[in-house]
Amino acid sequence: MRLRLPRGFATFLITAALTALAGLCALGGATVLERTGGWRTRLAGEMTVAIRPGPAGTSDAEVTRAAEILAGTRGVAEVRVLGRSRVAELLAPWTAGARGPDLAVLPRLIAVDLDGRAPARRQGLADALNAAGIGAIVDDHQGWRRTALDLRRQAAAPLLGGLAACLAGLAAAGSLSTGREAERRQQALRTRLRLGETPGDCVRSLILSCLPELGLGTLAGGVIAAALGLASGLGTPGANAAALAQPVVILAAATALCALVAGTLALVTAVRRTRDMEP
Amino acid sequence: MLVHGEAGAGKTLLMAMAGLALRPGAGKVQLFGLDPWGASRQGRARLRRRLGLVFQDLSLIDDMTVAENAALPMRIAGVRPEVLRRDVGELLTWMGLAGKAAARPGDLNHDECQRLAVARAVAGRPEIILADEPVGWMGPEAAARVLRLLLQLNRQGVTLVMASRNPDLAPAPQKLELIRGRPQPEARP
Repeated sequence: MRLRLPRGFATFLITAALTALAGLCALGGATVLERTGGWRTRLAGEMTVAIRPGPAGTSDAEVTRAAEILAGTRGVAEVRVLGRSRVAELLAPWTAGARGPDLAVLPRLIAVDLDGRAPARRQGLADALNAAGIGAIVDDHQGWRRTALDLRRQAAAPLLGGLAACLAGLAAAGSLSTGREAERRQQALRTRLRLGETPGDCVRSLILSCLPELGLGTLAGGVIAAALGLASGLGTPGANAAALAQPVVILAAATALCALVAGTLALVTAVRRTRDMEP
Repeated sequence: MLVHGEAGAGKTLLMAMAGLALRPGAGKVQLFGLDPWGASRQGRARLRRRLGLVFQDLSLIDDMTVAENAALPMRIAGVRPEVLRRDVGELLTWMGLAGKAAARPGDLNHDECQRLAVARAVAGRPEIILADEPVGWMGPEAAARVLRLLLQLNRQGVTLVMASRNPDLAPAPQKLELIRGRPQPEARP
């Protein structure tokens, strides 16, 4: 027995799939923007000072002195000395494979939180430590911030491309489904026009017969994107209601944009086809 | 008026141009003293609503019932539903189609389809009826009945233009014979 799908079901499926993809692209883009933005802000608000180890390592007293000097420098809000085990953990990607490096010869790290209103400069911290005779490297995280920026750019391009491709697909779906419906109802529409129906009324009846599959398709796509986004943790850094509001708004906007694009092309096609039918 | 001529003489073409279904490539069509092709689409639609058309191909809409097909001009004209139902009911009874109101055109024979096409043409109370072979496929009894209706409407002031191969289809004050698209001078006794 041949399975016969309801009329418009294919359009519904295509519209739902493309809307879901567009929604996920939008959600993914927003997540990348938000997370890399947060990362850059956090990185810009702190510096890391590495105390160079001497031949016998770095003494706790030297680290404490460095921390005191840094805490007393203008533009520094807070100073945190990282314990040896924490340093070993942080440097593990670079020291792994080496045969049990002596923790004493690893540099000691001090995390410096900057004053948000008048942050200290990298050179200022380096000068203060040098003046006290402490050999140190001050890292203002420029490299990491550049990496975050590059990541944002690299992720944004495919996501924007994906969103644009989905919108183009939806435009085609809107146009094709209306064109197919106009083809199917060609004889009826021609007759109605010849009996005095205005082209506007014909366009309305044509659009009304295509809108349910397009509308339901975009709606279903939005719901699918929400479910997939929620399941994969996209756009939901926290589980509270405020954190959920942003992805919901983004998804709603993406779904509305999809519906707008598909609906607009359906309307344009309906107008064009009706004009072609009018003698 | 009766337009007559052999097959291919141009009767259908002339009726299509008069009914604003075809735009003339040359020359001019005037309807109610207006130039329909110089008017806007809405203006042209308004003019079409003043016409009642019986197409040679009937042009019935397959996914509408018989009653919906007959009511279409009235619906387009914005007639109230209760008036529309009453008038269409009467009209279908007169045309002998009352029992088929809920059927689809595909369920009717050609005779019935033609009666439905005539019913639709007169339903909107048009000022001009353009009927291309209005009784071509009907049996003699149904044809006589339909012609009687059309002539009655004509007596009530509706302009009636019929096209047929039969020059004696109905008594007409004006007859126009077409031969290869050209009107012939009226034969005088």
